[in-house]
Amino acid sequence: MKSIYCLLLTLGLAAVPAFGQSKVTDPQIAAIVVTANQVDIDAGKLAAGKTSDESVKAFANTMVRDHTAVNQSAVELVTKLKVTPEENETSRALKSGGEENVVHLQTLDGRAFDKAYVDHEVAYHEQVIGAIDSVLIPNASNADLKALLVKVRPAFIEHLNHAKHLQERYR
Amino acid sequence: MRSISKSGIAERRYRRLHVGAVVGACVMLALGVFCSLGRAATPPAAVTRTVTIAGLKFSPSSVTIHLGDRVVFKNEDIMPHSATAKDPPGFDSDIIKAGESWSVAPERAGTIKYACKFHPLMEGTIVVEGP
Repeated sequence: MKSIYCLLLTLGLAAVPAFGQSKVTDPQIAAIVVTANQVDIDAGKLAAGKTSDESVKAFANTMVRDHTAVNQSAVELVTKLKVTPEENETSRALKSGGEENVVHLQTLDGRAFDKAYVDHEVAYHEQVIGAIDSVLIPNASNADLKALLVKVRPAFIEHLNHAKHLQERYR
Repeated sequence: MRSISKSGIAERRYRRLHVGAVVGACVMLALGVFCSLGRAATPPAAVTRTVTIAGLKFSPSSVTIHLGDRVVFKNEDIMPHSATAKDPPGFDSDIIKAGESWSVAPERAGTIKYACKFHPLMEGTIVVEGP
């Protein structure tokens, strides 16, 4: 079991939680969106401060800037809609996965750090895009919340492609 | 006393009319040349073209303008972007916040490739035609 976990850590996937819930409510979606963004903000802040690669630093700063903007929009919307984010299985898994990722990244330096951070960003964005398409957008009942999810989706796609572009350098 | 025949009077009238017609034609021609010169000397009015930034794309991705025209970049996304020329010396909007705009009037003819410096996969082109 330990060796499987180590392998997953090496691949950078252990800290990327699966989006297990298939039916979610708007308050649960709000919690998932805010947590998913916060997880990537935390990893981005760590990477921006730790990497010495200017391309990785620029990417990390973009993750912090963009996910902060998405969260600001999400918080403004749920405040307007009087929706209180509700913690759930997926948001909790995202939070603990993000914390594990940060702990793991803190043990690495140099190229190993950059590679692990970028690999995780690829896996994370793939998971989030899958969740947006298969769980979050189909289940959002409020039109404004659904519209916000549709509006932020291209950012996740761009982030994924940007991360994949960086990942090529570590093959 | 010199007498003038009827045919002489008609001839003089004819000459007066002929001279008047020639002078009139010259005046018209001069006015025409003056007006056409005036038109050629007046540059066309500057035009403003808008490039919308939405869904992490510049739209339209390519615009063609004339020297003196202006391009406005309007950020309709919820995250900040930039419009930054790829080749120096070029323009750089730096951060265009969500809901804000920035504009540029290129000073040289040619093709300018630009991108968002925060999202390098977002690209666009401005073709600036000379006078």
